[in-house]
Amino acid sequence: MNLLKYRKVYITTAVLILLFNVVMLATKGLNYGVDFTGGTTIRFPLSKPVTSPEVMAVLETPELESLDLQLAPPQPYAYVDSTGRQRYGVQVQTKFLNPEDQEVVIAALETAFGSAGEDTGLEVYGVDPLIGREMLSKSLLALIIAGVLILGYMAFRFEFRSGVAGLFALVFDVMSVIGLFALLQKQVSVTFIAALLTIIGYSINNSIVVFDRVRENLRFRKKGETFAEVVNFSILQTMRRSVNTSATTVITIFLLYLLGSASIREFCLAMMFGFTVGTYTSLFIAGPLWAIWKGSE
Amino acid sequence: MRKDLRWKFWVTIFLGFLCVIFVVLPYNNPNLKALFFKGQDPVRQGLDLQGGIEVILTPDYRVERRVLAGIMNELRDAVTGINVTSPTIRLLGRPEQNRYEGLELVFDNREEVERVLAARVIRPEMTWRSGAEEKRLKVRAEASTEKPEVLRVFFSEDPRNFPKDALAQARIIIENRINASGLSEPAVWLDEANQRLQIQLPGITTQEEAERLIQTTGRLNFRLGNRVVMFGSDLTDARAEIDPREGAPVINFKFGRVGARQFEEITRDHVGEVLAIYLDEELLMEPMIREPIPGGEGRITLGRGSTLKEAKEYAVLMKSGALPVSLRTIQITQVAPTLGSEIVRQSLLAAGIGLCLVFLFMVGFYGIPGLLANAALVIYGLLVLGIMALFRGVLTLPGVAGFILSIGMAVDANILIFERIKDEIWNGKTMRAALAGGFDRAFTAILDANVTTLIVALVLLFLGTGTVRGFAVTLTIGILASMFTALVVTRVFMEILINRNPGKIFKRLGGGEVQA
Repeated sequence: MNLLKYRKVYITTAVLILLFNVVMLATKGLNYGVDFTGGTTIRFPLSKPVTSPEVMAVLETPELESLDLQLAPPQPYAYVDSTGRQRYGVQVQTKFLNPEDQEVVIAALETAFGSAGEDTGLEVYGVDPLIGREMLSKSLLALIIAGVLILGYMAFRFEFRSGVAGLFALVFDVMSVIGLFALLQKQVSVTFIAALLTIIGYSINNSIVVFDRVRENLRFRKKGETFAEVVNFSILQTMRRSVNTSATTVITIFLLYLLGSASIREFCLAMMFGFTVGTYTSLFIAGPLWAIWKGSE
Repeated sequence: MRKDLRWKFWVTIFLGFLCVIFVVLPYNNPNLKALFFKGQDPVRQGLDLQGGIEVILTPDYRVERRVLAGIMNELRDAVTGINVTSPTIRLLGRPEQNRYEGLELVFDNREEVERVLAARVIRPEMTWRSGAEEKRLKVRAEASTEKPEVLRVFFSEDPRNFPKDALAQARIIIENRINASGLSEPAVWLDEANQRLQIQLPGITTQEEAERLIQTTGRLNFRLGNRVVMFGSDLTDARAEIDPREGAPVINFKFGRVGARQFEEITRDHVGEVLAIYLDEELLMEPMIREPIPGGEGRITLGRGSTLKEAKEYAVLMKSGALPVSLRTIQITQVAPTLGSEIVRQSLLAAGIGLCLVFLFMVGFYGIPGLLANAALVIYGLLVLGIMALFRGVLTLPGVAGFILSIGMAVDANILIFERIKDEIWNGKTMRAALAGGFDRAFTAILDANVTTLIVALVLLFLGTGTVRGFAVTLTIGILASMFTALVVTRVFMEILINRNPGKIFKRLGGGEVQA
């Protein structure tokens, strides 16, 4: 089987998809959560479902208006907990509130919808805009540093070109997940960055297994065998392992996605999508790209 | 059995046992818990799993209203000095603890704003004096983008106004307050570089409670008339009791050496005047100075109408108010304990089902070797928990995800090895040679793959904040442990099995289909 016959098609498609994702990001932009923009998110548990306007009405009293909440449309949510009980709640997002103002808002919700009490699952997360900006720049820095270090390590252990091929696959993976989140306008938080870095780790892991085979097969290269043929053979050899590993991991994360609470759903979604894409790229982008580059000399 | 195999096997089993005793048993045995972990859980749960409140505080460099009121005229003089009409001056921003961002100067038109900016009459630094106080202020003037005739002047206190270790002192004070409350496992961290104080209060459910513990993070100050004459930073003690002679509650207080001298001077010069006690901008009491107080030990007699409870509250506030710098909240995380335990249940369920699937998959695909890999995986899990417990790591929700992920990587290492052994058998090697060859050849891939993931984990560890760091910690521990289990534990198990019955395993691994 010659997988590499269409290697230029893979790479062209990859570049097109990458461009599509860049356009997605540029036009739609990311839906940054309070981690990065600063603000307060209150997840207020309810005993019965409500609509967004109902909650809005509760929070638009003159007293609350004086706090200048900069309220986003409240988002009702519902889920089934681990005991099988149906639960409801509403997510309210405002500018960053100091503790006193936060209590005022929660008190207003409690008056209108009944006390959240101690035992129902109130969740509050507030970030000062100042820290938000800092988190965003730190996250970007983390991504860039991780990328550079991986490139360096690959260049040291294999060769520079394989490092670049691996890095391109990583950029593709990361951009695919970012593009998906831009397309769906899913909220991006600090855990999203953690998910991206995990995807990077996992995807590079897959690429390395392929490259490792190539490195080894080159030593036993037969006369007249081209580099592309070696890469092709190596990919075929490692394919079963790559698919097996990815399948087991994606299954585990999918379970977490199904059973997990809303707060980790987005994290799981990013990982599932990223791992699937990562498996594809390690087989059909990293290897073929290395083959094209090296084969052209 | 070969000698080296025997001791390797027993070391592995011993390690596993150690982890069971160290991590698993204490959950059901209070004696072991007390012995190893001072009565706490072996692996501590993060705030998101346990429930509670976390706040991050930073020095509040915004300026008090009374300071801004004083500076207003100075600013007006500076501006009108270059022939613009006197502006209307307002306070800027919403007050928090009576502190504001700065002042808003409203001129007649944009041109005047530009002239003021161009003339640079608003200097970047100013000094404000009143009574015992002297404040260096940093000033930044900026034309408003929305309203052309408005000039915004932002003020903030120069950090040099406070002692260098102000935040470290604040940390100790807050820690003492929290510990005095008897809360289990509170934590206070100081991030000196970023000037941040992170406080975790597990099990606390409302902001009110949290506030009471961290307490009004203000600065105690004494005022004559409207002037601050002294700060309470040097107050060492304040206690409430009922004075038997007068039958009214009193507060006995004590200053350190510097404070005592200062206090003596003030009380000597102002007998008969009211010495008001403020916490930040909030008036606590207005006692009158009856006589000079030498030695730093004094007593405030509260009126007959007041109760001992009131006096106690004041005493606590006086003591707790002795923070060297005011703090403000810049991040709040609040999770209800039930929500946390719900998340734990869900994650455990998901992890349990996931593990079962992985176990089934391994056995189905690789037979007895797969079973061995599963046994190695159990030891791996115990090792990770053991290391977490040993270093008192905190398990957060992303941490659980990191753990699940590293399980994936541990399985992957085993799959890599088994596939390699299959290849070797297919290449015509004997079982023993194939085993050695398989491990050797899989080694480079496992090493490189784990090192790159480790790079990512370490980057996260150093740059990440809060929960993300929890993820990085479990991932790092997981990667290291997974390399050990795959390369040592699985190998020992395999070798022992092959020594006993080489033919069976050979058939099982060689029986798999052969790739193209």
